[in-house]
Amino acid sequence: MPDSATNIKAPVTLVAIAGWLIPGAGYWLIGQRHRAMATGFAVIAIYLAGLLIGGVRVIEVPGYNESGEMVTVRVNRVNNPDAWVMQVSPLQEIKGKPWSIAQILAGPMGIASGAASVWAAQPDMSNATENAPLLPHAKITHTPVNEAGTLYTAVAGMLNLLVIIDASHRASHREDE
Amino acid sequence: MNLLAFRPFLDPLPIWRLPPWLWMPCLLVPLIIGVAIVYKSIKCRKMSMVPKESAELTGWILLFMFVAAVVLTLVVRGIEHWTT
Repeated sequence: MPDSATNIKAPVTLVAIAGWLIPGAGYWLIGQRHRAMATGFAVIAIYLAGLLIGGVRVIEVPGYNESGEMVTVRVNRVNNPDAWVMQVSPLQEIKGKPWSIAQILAGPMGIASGAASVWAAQPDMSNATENAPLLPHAKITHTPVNEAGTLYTAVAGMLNLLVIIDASHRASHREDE
Repeated sequence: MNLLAFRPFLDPLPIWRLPPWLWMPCLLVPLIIGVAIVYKSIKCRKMSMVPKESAELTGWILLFMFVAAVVLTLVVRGIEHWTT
């Protein structure tokens, strides 16, 4: 398998997009397959370890509250009184959940786990009884385990950003040569 | 249904079943190893150097975190000593 010295050319944009879609895929496209596998497996393992440690609810999705409902704000009392907060003030909402920026850098698995987190926050109707309150599919924890899970997933995203930047840099230098 | 059963990826890892002094090492070491592997995979010219280099980096990070913990503990104890 080719490693550090390769002649495979790939557009920088494609390398960056592939690196976001599948961690390490940017290196794979420029022929550095060992590097692709090492970084890809490590980033995915750290992200999955974060989900395993803290549960899927460590992913806080902007625009959704702790019950998995869309957060709405009152914009206009006459027409369309309630609008989704992500349509009205997305930056303000994301600022309240800064870890989500790093987590989304881990790629589509960040989006998929966000969707799973919203689902897990919603009430579990299968266990509903007349007297008992509705419980979510999975509870959120406020222990150091939650902080560790959040840290793992965010670090995985930041490391993937490093990997994307390095793979793109190598691809651009190869084009120049 | 056992309500206390651990459901992977849904429930938090029941780390509280371990003694509290083991919590941080258990949570810290895997992250440090992962960071060291990714960092050295980016930095090393040859991938054959990565296992040794990342093992070394893991050791250095752990050592410096331990030293930082000792220094901070001494600072806090010193402040406690001089203010009481």
